[in-house]
Amino acid sequence: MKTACPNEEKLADYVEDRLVEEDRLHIETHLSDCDRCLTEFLAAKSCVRGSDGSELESVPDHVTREAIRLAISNRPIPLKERFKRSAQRLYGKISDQFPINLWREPSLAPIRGSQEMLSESIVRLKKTFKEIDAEIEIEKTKEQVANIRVRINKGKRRTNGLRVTLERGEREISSELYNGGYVSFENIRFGHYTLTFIRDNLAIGSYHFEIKESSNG
Amino acid sequence: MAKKTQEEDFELIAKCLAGDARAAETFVRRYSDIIYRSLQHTLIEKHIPFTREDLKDLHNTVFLQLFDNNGRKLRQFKGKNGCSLATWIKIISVRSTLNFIRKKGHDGITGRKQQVSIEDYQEFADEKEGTWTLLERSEKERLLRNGTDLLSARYKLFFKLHFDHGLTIAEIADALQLSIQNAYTLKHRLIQKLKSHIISVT
Repeated sequence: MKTACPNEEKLADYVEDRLVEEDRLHIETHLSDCDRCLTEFLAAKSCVRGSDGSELESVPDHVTREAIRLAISNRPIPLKERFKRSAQRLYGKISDQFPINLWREPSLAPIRGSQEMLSESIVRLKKTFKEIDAEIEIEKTKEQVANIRVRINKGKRRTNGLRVTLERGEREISSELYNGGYVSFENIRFGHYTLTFIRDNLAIGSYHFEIKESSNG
Repeated sequence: MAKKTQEEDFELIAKCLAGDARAAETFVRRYSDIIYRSLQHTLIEKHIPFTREDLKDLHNTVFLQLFDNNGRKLRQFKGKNGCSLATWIKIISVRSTLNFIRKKGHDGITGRKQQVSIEDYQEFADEKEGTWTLLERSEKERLLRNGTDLLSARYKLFFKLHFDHGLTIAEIADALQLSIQNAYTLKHRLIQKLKSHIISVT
């Protein structure tokens, strides 16, 4: 049965006579059975132990420059960086498909009161009103712009007929009927806002907040 | 260019694998010419016609092979027995060239020399019997090939180097790290073994 073909280093060791007797015989046994490796060995021997190649043409500079460009664009990415990019890609896909993912375990910053910092660009907070428990998630999407998502905990009273309104000062930005799942307000510029929860034309709770950059994000 | 120590080789590789662009450039500049000349050497030796465009493509192929897949090939270099990075890269260049030649469908990849003709090799003939002379060329070839299958690795290798690749005894001695004397002894014993085999089957 033919043994495995030697790798380049093993072949180099054989060509330059650095192998112990046992390994040398092992290689020769393989070479006696493998025409491909035998051809390679002879070519390698000639190349490695042959003349210094001074009679051959030197590499043109443009060829080296092109190889540099190739090497740099294909150079290895450190594991930490690869992991970070994979995580960012994965998060992007998940956040596009799913609403507030309550199963997400916050892992950054200690929890203070009802506010949790899920990452540098996402904050989630819980507000409890007389009749409802609301989870509000604010995510920075780009410079000075965020998305706001509101989810109501069904554990308490009924949520049907509930309306969630976002206001800036006295101006109403958007108003959405809550149908289970979540209510989303997108491309909201940083600033002061009020979220008001209304049922049967009566405000049952409101939350005043400011979206701004902090030292954490 | 001053010969680099193995320690310098490992340091450079480590930096390349860490994604250091400057180290990648240094690496390419250091080995670009070695690769380019190795490619030419192999192509010339195999009598394969080539253009500068072929050389450039092959040259890029070698570097891509080293850096691709997160530097997978580059990571394989261990230098366990004192192998230098330059030699290792030369071997990779040779392999890439031979693959290129095979893909192009060139014949004559096996050897640069004229192959020794079996039917001309009278040393296998046992004149008392005269059998060898009477056999057809193809029959002689078949008998010898079957015979070599029964040989130990070293004799089989010798046979291939001499008959398939056309190497002289001196060249075989050099390839197998033998003295000329030992090489001739090996040849003599090889012939005796094959002769015995031929007699036994004819």
